[in-house]
Amino acid sequence: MAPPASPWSTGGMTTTDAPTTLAARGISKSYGDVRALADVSIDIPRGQSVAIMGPSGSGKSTLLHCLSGILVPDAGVVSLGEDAVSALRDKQRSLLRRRRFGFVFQDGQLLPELPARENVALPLLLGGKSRMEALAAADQWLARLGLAGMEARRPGELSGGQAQRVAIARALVHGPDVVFADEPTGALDQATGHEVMQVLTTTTAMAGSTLVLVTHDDEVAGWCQRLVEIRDAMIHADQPITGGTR
Amino acid sequence: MSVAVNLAPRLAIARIRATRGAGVLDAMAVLAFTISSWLALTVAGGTWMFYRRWSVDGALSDAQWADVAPAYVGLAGFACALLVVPILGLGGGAARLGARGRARRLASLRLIGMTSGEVVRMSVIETIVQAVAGVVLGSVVFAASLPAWQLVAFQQQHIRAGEMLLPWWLWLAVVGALLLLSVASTVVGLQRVSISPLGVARDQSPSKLKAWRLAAVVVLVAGFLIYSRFSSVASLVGLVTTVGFLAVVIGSINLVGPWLLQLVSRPRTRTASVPRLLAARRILDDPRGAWRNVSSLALLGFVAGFVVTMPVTTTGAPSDVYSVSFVRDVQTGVAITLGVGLVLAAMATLMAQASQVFDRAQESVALERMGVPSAVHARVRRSLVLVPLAVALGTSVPLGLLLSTVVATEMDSFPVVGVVMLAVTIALGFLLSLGAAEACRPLQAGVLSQQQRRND
Repeated sequence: MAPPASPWSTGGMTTTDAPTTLAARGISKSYGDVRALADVSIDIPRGQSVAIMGPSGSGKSTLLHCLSGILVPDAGVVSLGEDAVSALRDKQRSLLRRRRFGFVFQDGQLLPELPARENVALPLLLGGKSRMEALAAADQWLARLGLAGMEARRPGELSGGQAQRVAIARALVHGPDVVFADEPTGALDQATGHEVMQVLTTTTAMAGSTLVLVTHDDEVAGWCQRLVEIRDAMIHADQPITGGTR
Repeated sequence: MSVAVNLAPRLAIARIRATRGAGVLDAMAVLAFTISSWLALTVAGGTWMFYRRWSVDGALSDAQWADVAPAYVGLAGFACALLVVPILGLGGGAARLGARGRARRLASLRLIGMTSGEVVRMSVIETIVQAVAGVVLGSVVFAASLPAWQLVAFQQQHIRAGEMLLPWWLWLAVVGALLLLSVASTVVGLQRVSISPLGVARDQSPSKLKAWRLAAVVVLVAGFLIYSRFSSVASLVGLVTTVGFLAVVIGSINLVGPWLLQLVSRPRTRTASVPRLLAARRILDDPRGAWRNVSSLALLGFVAGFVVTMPVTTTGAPSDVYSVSFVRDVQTGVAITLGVGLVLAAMATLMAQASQVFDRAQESVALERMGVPSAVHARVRRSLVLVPLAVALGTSVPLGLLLSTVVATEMDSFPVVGVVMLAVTIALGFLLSLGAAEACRPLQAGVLSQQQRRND
């Protein structure tokens, strides 16, 4: 039997050795008459952590969804390294998200029937790993994130912060190129939110993954290296965060 | 009360207008009430017809049938008793449809200040509106289907159009029972999910079902086997006692069923297959609910198993024209009962799976975003249907066969239906249930393709 994937390895999934840049070129997206993104371009080098901020309705979640292949822009191109994400068919984009991306949502979105370790192991099981390998890797990640002894607990038996750490472990267990986080601390109190951000930024950095995070909270954004501000469907400001935690 | 009365129809209309949303569940609840009231009226109408043929002079064209007319009433009553559970179950299921989604919605209303009493009243009003719509439609379908029954003959006499028409008081009793049950199911269902302003948290490990359930059923079956050796069904008291004992044994399948599902599903969690893992975990999460979805098929399985060697006593020789007709009538009655039961079971499966699609919409969307292929959802649904179905039929058919052979030894008997009908029932049970699960694909696709504009 092959040894379980190290928490800091790619988990055996397909990744390129060269630094992989996530890029958007002139992307636009509308919902009916409402324009959510208008001619947006951005380059995010591998390993960078980027916070996307903006007022309600500015288009920040739409940008994250387009970058992650959840949505296809009406115009423009999204690419990950050499791969044109926005040109892929739905099935191929699903495969790409499964293999090369990790996701952390606002309220974790863990499966309520599965214990923590099976929730974390899910991406590996979907990728064809054996149950034993997948669970071993999941247990390692849970231990790394301070959840040793809680592997058998179900989401309803965890606190909000613990559940979010399980979601982070699930996002990183298969060694993704990019982790997308949509308001990952939105449902948490300030102290727990800081704790979760610390875990999220340090673990993605140590795993060598890119972090793209959507937030409306300055303090949360302060954990990243770069701040992109969206206003009225366009990038209003794009600057490094001085004194960023990562 | 006025808040509930004002709000309930507005919310219902808003849901129905949202074409891709949970409005489908409202339509499905009305459909389920329509089917359950149509079939309830049909089985009641059939029994009423046999009663009238027996009690009204001249109703039977051939007076020779008068002697066995009470037996027809008794057998029709037995079929009614068998079908009453799945019919009421379908009505109750319709009332619980989308309970989780509804609970979330109601929790939001609690947050903005509605009292728990107002929330319950609002849900009851919603259910009553759906049930009344279903009952009206069901009555129309029942009336429209009456001419079709003229193709069927009992007692060497084709059913006449008006024969199955119910008197007003019996119609009222049937639909009243359905309405009452739907209201009761709604109230009990809401208490189970305990609506609080903070929503519904039922994500903790469920307590395991205990093995005493199996022990109780083994004791009951053994008791019946011993009892049947020393009892006689020749007298009315003996017959009633035996049928009563048999009903308790049949009912006990529902006691052991959830435990067996738990037993079968636990080892199935040790798999690397995500669909199988999710299905097994969902069954373990609520084995009673999973069993409830197939309990009517378990009942049918028992009936199908039982009638393979069910004894039918006749007054004349087997070659006698009346005896031959009587046996044929029993076969027709059994086929109709099984057919009605299969339709009910398929509808129950459809409702349960459709309800799950909407109740788990948020999780499904999250999985889809993570890149989980939509085929996984379909495979989970198939597993969720097939595993409980296999356990239900695997338990009930052998039990039916076992008990019927014991009863059969008591009388001079001959098989009413062969293994063909048993095989057809099992095959149809699987096919209809799978079809019901597959019918949820468009609903799942609708949920996944729903592009909600987030607060971005």
